[in-house]
Amino acid sequence: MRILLFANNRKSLSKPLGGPKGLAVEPYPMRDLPVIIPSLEDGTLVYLDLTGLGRPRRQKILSMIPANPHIFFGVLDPAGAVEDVAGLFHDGAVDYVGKKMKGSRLSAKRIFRVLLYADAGATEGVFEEAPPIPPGATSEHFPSGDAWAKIVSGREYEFAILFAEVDGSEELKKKHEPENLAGAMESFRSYVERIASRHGGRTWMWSQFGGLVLFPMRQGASSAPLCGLRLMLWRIFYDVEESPLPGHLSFHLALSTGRTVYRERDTGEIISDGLNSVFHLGKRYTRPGQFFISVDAMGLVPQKLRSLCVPVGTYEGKRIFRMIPPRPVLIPGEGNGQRKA
Amino acid sequence: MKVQTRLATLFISALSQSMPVELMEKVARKVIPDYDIYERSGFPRSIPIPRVDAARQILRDCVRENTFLRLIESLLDVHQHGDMGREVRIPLLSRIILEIEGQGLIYSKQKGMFVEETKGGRVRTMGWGTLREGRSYELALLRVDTVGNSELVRRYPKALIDSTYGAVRDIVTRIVEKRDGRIWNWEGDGGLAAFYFIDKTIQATLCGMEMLHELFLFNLLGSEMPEPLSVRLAVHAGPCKFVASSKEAAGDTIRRIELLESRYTKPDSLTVSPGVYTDLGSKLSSLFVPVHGPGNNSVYRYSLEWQRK
Repeated sequence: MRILLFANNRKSLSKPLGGPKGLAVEPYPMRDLPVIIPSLEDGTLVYLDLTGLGRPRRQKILSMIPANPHIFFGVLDPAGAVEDVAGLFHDGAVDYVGKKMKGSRLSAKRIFRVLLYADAGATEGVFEEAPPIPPGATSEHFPSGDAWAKIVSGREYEFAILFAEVDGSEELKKKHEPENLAGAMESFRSYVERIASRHGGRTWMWSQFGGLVLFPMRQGASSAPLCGLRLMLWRIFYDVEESPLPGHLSFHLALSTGRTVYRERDTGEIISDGLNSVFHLGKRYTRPGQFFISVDAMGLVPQKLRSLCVPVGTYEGKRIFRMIPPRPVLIPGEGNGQRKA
Repeated sequence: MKVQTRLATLFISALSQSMPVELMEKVARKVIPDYDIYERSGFPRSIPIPRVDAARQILRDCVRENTFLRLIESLLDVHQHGDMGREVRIPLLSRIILEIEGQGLIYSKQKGMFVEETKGGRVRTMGWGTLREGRSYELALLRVDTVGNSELVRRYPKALIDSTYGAVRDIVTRIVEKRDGRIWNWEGDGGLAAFYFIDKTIQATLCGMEMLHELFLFNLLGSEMPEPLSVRLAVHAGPCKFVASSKEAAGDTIRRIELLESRYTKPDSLTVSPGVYTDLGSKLSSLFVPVHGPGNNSVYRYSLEWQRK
């Protein structure tokens, strides 16, 4: 992720932060703030140095904080000019360095704490090494919590695991040129990724036609079922607005829970019963265009969504369910529901 | 829009350095039909008009007739695509764009026009910063109405009704603005949204469909009402006069969409007029079912149903 510093004084711009290894801060003059802000990606961390700014200018700059909720703002105020510091946080700021901290520098440790506070899930790329193990964690298995920022690469966690795969892959290979098909499958992955990220999920172990999405869990809660429902409900918008294929794309989903070691890369050697189980549920049992849920994952389904789920048999000796969202009413004989890919 | 001295100077320099008077006149005619530089400037037709004078005259006329932005858009078009196969390089255009963008507008290459800047918390205006009061435009309209409003208001406390309708309005606003539309009018239980840019009928239709999907989730997870909220949605396109006071918006297109929504739309469904349906393309139109409409015409319906096992 990017960290930007906007300041009016040259001193701040020339030596923006303490300079720990692996932490890059991009300095910009304050006058460029309105131009640069709209182009920043979600979750970018922006520090505003208020040194030397008069009250009207200061207020104008601080008004950018509530106006850009997709960005994390920190405020550097060595003169202690901000009257309502709490108000900054109410407006969405994530850090404040005031008068009493004058002379101290923003350390990498502080930035990391800021990102945890912001629940950014975006510490990757900031540090070369993983953050320290959370205090109190003594075993090899950690509850994964509700945020990616707390997950350390190489350790084992319990996740909600969503399997997503396009239907009729052999048929698609016959019908489309490899390049066109590759582009279409990439767009499907983007669709899954976009919706999953809104629900706290990340795509993982992805092949051409599908893969897994991991969701951290806290006390048996995760928004993975809602993500699956949204993927099913919004697929017609994906078809019309994003998919480069001429027909409607069909896909199936399977949701379960399980333990696995988490690593961003080099996932080939990971051995996990949880992963095997959801792969088999998705590949062998789930029918085209449908969304199956294991009995273990049913505990994650909010009460109000359970009315959409019906039992559809057993898998590995355990009951499995199907979540059935509503679908568009079509002309009889036009192939309601399961359309060919 | 305000044309300050610096912008005026840039414009006159750009125009006079890049094209002969004949081409200037041709560009001006794209925004003021039948524009005649000799008639406007008073120069005798036998005397060639100096380029700088012609550029200044065009600027003056376009500012007076409030078509300066359209003129710059035409210049950008000539700069990008040339004139009759001939390349025309117009200097200073990037600086002209910067000056205009300083006034809260942004040039959209995709739309080929200046529209209001909406990032950074700027307010969205009903006319996208580009429609002019009193003029008629081809627009696509989406009408939303809550089913059984009077009953609901009688049956439930005001606070519950206010919070539920407020949430519905938030959903509609988010969906509409995501697709570059604008809410023109909202009165508690429903309202009217407008779409202007390319694919406007498709965008309005997708908005209506997405509204049904969002409402399904809202009724299931977000609503505090003991019963599900139902809406009727309709999309129609046609010429419509732009008036900043949306309550005064009237005309044939608005009357037709009101009729389409109130008489030909079932609860929890979206109806589109035949003209809109033909714009949808095969993927989207395959999701609509023809139903009986005004006279012997069909209108087209989108709705959701529960799947059987």
